[in-house]
Amino acid sequence: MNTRGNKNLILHILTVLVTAVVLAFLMGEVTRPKFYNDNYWPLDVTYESFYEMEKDTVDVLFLGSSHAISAFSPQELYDATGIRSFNLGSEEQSLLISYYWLKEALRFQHPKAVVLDTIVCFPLTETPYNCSEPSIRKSLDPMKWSSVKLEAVSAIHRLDAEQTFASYVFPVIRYHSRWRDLVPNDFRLWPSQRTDLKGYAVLSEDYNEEDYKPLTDTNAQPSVMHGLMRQYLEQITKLCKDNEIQLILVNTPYTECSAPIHAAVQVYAREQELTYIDYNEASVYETLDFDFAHDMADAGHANTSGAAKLTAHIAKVLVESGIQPIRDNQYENSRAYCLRQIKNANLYRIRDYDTYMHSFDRNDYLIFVTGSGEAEAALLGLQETGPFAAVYEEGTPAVYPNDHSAIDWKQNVRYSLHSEEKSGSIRVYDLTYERTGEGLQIVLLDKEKGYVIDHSIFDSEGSRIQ
Amino acid sequence: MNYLSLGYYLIVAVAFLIYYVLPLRHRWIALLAASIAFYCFADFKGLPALGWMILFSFLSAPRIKDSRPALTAALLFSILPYWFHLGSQVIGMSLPGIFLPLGLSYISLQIIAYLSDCYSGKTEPETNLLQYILFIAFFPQVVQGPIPRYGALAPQLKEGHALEEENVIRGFLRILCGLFLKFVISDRAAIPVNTFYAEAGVYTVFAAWIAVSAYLIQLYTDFLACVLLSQGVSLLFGIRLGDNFNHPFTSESTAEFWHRWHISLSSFLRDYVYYPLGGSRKGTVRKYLNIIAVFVVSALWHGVSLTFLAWGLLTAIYQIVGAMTFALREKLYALLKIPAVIKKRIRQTITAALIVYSAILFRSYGFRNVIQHTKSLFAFHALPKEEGLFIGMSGYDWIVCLLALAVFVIIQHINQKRDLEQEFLQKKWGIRYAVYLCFIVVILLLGTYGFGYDARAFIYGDF
Repeated sequence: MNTRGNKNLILHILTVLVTAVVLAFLMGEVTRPKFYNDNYWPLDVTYESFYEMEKDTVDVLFLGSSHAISAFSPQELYDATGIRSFNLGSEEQSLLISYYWLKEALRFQHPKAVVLDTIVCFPLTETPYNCSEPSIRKSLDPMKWSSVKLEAVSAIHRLDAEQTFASYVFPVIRYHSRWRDLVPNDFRLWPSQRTDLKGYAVLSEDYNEEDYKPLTDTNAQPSVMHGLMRQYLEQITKLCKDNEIQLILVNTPYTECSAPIHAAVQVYAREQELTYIDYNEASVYETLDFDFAHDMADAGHANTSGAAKLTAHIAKVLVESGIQPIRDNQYENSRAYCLRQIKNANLYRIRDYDTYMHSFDRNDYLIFVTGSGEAEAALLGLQETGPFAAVYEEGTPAVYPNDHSAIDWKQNVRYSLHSEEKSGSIRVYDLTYERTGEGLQIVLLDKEKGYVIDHSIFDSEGSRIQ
Repeated sequence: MNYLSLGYYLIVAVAFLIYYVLPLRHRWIALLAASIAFYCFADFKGLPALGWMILFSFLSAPRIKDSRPALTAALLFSILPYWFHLGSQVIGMSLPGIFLPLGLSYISLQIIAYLSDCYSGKTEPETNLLQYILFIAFFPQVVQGPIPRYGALAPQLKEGHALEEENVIRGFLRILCGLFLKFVISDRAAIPVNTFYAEAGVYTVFAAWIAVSAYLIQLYTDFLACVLLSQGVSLLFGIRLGDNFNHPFTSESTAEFWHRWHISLSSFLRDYVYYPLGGSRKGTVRKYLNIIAVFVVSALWHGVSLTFLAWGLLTAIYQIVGAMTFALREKLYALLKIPAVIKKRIRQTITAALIVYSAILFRSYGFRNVIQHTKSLFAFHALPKEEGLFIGMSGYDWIVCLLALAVFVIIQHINQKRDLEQEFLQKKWGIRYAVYLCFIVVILLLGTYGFGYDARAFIYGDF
């Protein structure tokens, strides 16, 4: 073959290879699971909104596990003190991830303080990085490519050879078998939903167990930290010192806390001259007016009222450390959104039907209803005499007998309603909400977020029974 | 490193560039460098044993012509690591990796063939050590064949080839076909196979036959994939390796099957075991004994175990019984006036069933397993014993597997009558691009490799 023929052939080969690489990238973006607002633990949208923050406008970073994500609300911190913060915690966040996200954050922000949740300092899983592989992927995949990500991926690959470099460059290698679970959102190359929660996870529900006791033993033998976590804790400490960042170690309330764990972190904090706040320590816990059964959503995660208390406490610490309040539109403009999310999360606390239905703007929600009879219809101001179903769009009800299925094209919601005297069900997307027995069943779908935010059942007197 | 890793294809890409930059008569050096690099990454520990085999056989070859004792000594010492391996399997001991170089079984046969050809004068011994190293360790085929003959491969390695568009197109297409067969069909078919063999006796007859048939599909597509990958990469350098399969499941007898399956091994056994033993030239009984000997050798080559031995003996018995009853069966077909087409299908079905059953011996661990799995094939229950119709594989995966298999079967069928590769060469670049990219998308998306995605693992449960 002559030189011109060779050149053409090489060109063809390169074209195929380049196209294949582009396709592999696109397939990776499609198949990678994204965690947006349809999840209690938003991750992609947290990191994406972090990258959108203006440079040098974040004065405090929160890092750590889901304990930290649910405990500290940047919006509430700003509203109370004017201090600008961002919560870069993630589920099961290994300190390896905390370190690299801190490093990544320092490319765009110069925080004055870092609040670091210390639960992962101690052995929690069998993996070398002390968390599950999906947790690593969920928190690292959204990180932009830079020398920091290269370093992070190399560190992980050294610990776990199965997590190949190629699988981070081409996520399709990791997620290809998700082809059978794809949803329409996967085909958007930009997020369809945004959050202004700045990494905070809004949790509703009450734990309702009385098995928690704060720590009183101050002389326990310290536990041994996980080797690799200790190493990264030291690296985070050094990184903060090198960048003149105040590092505050915290331990949020959880039932598995223990005096040896507390002691281990305390020893480290003393050695490094760091502030350490263990909210499980009785002397601290009792200052919070904290009710574990009702301020926690479960054994380890604060709900909205618990987060308010923990955020208020850390706010005082940060103010005392000298961080100045600054008015910032990035926080002014997000207030309404955050308040609404917290209101949504607190709907479950409202036990009276009238109060419930007046606590939100009906135009902002799709309201699905099934009722078992006349008394329940009367609550709605309707005159049905038997089982009924209803859908509120734009605030006004459309009533149907027994069964109704439809698609709300504006909201792109498929739903079906079924009502009988002693039972009922409301199916929205792929989830079914059941009513067993008589009563008025209500499912609320937040139009802005696009998913269900509450499911309630009221009796004929208007008292919430579920 | 293996034939499926990115690192391997990086080596191929670099070797490709260097090969075509070098002058024609030096191009073999690029192949040699790539072969050494591949072996270093794939099995560095095995290099000393490989070196021994290469050096000893290289030095022995010029000294064995027409000398049986010299040949015997050369065979004994050249493939010493193989004898160690065989011996260790007999006594149930495992040897450290340093004694077991990658591709040991294939390299041993390659050396036996080379030395035997030198002994008989069929081949002149290689005088250039480096080129001999290249012949033995040529990277696309060193691990899983096809087992090359010196006369067929060495000249191609040495002569250097100009860059030909046809070779690159064919090569790339074969690589993609190989990856498709491996990732989309073979590794997927392995799921029900592994499930069935892990827990014998809990599946219905229907599921049992599906699982054992899936094993043949897994084996065939896996092996064919390796061959296509070897051929594809070799073609990029203008080197043509022989075909190792010739539509084996169209065979009408087990004898024909073994002429169409793993051709390089069956022709090796024919040339270096069957013929030297006398073949069919010394009477019928001796012929049958020779057939038994060939399959015993084949069985031991695959592995030293009673089940492999039983497989070899059963396969030999199939052939012997087939030969003995051939005339009778032909009379029966004629008596029943069975049309030729139907007769062909009956033979093909029976051949396939016999091969499928013998694969149980090949796959099972021990005779207890064999008995359990055999029972599963023939134990009819009033109700299904276990609702394992999907045999561990999801409905989606079954659909993908069956569709991919259908595509494969159709292409193979068409390829028997037309040269699809040649037709592909004549298509415009746009169509070829589309085909390549379809393959790439299907392999990347539907291939079974790496982590599986389990949505539950990504749903946050704990903290």
